[in-house]
Amino acid sequence: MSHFCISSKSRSLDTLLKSFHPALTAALRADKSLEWQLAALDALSIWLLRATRSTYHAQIASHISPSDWDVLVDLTWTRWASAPNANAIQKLLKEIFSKILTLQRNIYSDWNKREVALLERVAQIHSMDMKVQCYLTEVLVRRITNGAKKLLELQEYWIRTMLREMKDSGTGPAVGKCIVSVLMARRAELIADHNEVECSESGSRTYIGAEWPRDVVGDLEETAPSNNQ
Amino acid sequence: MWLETWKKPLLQTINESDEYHIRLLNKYFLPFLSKECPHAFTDLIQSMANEILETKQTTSLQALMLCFNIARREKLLPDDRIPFALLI
Repeated sequence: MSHFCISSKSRSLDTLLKSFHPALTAALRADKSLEWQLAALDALSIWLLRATRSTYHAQIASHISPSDWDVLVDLTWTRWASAPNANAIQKLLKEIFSKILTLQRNIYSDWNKREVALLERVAQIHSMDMKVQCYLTEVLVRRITNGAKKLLELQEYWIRTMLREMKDSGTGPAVGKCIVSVLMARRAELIADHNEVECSESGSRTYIGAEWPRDVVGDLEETAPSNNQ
Repeated sequence: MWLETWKKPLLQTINESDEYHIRLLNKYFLPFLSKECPHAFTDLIQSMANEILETKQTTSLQALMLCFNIARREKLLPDDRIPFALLI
């Protein structure tokens, strides 16, 4: 019975490892129909979920080459750029990014260093779509210990640069939300560092994803025309 | 200390920006911030008012007015403006 379980687990790992490259390659195809692309990204998302639940961390880590890992991490913004108006694809890419970060923590002992390096990369890529850049920045800043401090050290003029980016009404809501998220993260870090107790009428809250107030989400979902005046 | 991380960049941006950009800041940045942390927002107003009194410089007045409008809208300050109907 135990032999059967071990061989079953081994087969399961084997299938998981073998399906990585086909899933990644398919997820990179932007030339297929929208339905095909959704199915491919969904498959990669499921693969990531299985991988994060697997206990064979070392085997998974050794199976993924450094270059493949880079392609996997970059996929969020490279595919975002190739599917700029497909909300369903963008939603899947956000899920995939979260799962990649979880997998990274599971399989790499230096995940902390990798997360900081990723934040640095995200902050420095000027050609990245502003909406996805804002999303990735918010996720990483919240995830990394003292993430907002690190971001503001890496990019001294980040707040000013982002406030200027708000000239574009198409990205203004996402940029505004991102700046506030980073500022609130920084505030929480300072309070934790100095053990300060600051209070406000309604208290300080950091909204993430679906927790963002409805009226604010309404503004964010507004599709205002781009205007670079 | 936290206030200093964003106060100067915000005032600089407002001073350098055209009306359209300020409208976007007013719509998509300051209200989010005031929802998240009203305490910090009133700190900003106080800090800016003190600076104007100390330096006698009114360069940040536009930003201050913008903040007052938001504060009023968020009910952080009493709205003491005279209704337009009473001016006629």
